[in-house]
Amino acid sequence: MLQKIDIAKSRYPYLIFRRIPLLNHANTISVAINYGFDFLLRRITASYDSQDAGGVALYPALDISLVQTSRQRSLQNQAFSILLISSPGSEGVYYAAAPAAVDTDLFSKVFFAAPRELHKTLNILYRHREEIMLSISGATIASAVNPDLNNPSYVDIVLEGDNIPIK
Amino acid sequence: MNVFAGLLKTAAMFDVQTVQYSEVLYLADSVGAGAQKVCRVSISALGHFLCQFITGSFTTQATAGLPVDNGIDYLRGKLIDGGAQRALFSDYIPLHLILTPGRRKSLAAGAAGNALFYPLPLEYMFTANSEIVFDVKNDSDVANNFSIAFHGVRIKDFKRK
Repeated sequence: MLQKIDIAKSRYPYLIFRRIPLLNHANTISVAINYGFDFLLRRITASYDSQDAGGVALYPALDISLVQTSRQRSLQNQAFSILLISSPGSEGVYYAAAPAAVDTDLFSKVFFAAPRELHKTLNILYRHREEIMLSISGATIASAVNPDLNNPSYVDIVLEGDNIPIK
Repeated sequence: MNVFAGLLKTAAMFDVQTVQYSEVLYLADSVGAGAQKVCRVSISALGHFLCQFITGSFTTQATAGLPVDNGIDYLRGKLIDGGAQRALFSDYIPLHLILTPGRRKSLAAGAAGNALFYPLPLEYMFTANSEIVFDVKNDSDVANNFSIAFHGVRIKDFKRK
C-alpha cells in the first residue's frame, strides 16, 4: 500500500540563481528567502569571464563575501576568491552575444560550458525574513568590454540549498 | 576474501529491494532555435521516486550557415515538481552550472566533451502519479539537445517486509 506524503511539511532542495553585474567597485546584492521558509545554504556555484574575446585576462582577483544580516556579522574576516568555494569559477569565459536569445533580459551574453567540478560545502542557515547578502569585489581590470554599465560583464551565481518550512 | 561478506545481510537486502530499489529516470529532448520547451518525465503509478542526484549533458551548437559546436552554453532550464507545481529553481539556470559532465561533443569537428565530475545533489521526493518538469530555453540560433539522469530510489512501500 503506497503511503501518502505530505510534501508541504518537508524540506526541499531549492536553487537560487542570480546574474550579478561586475562593477569596478564592490557590488552587494540581497537575495530574499521565500516566505514561510528558512534556507540552508549548502553550496555556491559561480561562473564568470576570466578573459575577453581577444584573450585579454579579466578579473584575476574576483572576490566574494557573505553577510548574515540577522546577526549583523560577516562570515569571513575578509573577502576571498570565488575560486576557493566554487567551480567552474573563472573557467566560464566570456564570449559574445547569444545569437537568438529567447528573452534578452540579462541573457544577451552567454558563457562557455565549463565543467562543474568541486565545491566547498558551506552549510549556513538563514532564517526566514532574513536576506542572503553577497558582495562581489575585485573587478578592477579595465578592458574593451568592461567595466561599462551599459555593457557589463556578469558573474552567474547559483545558491544551492534547501527550503525548510517554518514549524 | 571479501571482508564484508559476513556483514551484509543479503537476504534482508533482497527483501527490501522488492519495495525500494535504485532507479534512474532519464529525460532527453531537443530545444529548437531561439525557443522554449517544457519537457516532462512521468513518475508513473509504480511508486514514489526519491531523487538523490542529477547528472546531465547538453550540446553547444550555434551557426552562421553550418552548425558549429563552439562550446558555449546556450541552454538554461528550470526544474519543477509537476505534481505539486513547485519550482525547485528560482530562475532559469545555465545548464553548465548544474549538470555534469555538461558539454558533450555533438559534431565530428567539435572539441571533446567534458568528463563526469560531481553530480548535483538534489534530494527530493517526487510522488507517484506526478511528473518531473524541466522548462528549457535555448538562446542559440540552432536546436540544442540535452539529457538528464535523475538518480534515486523507487519507493513502492516504506515498510520493510
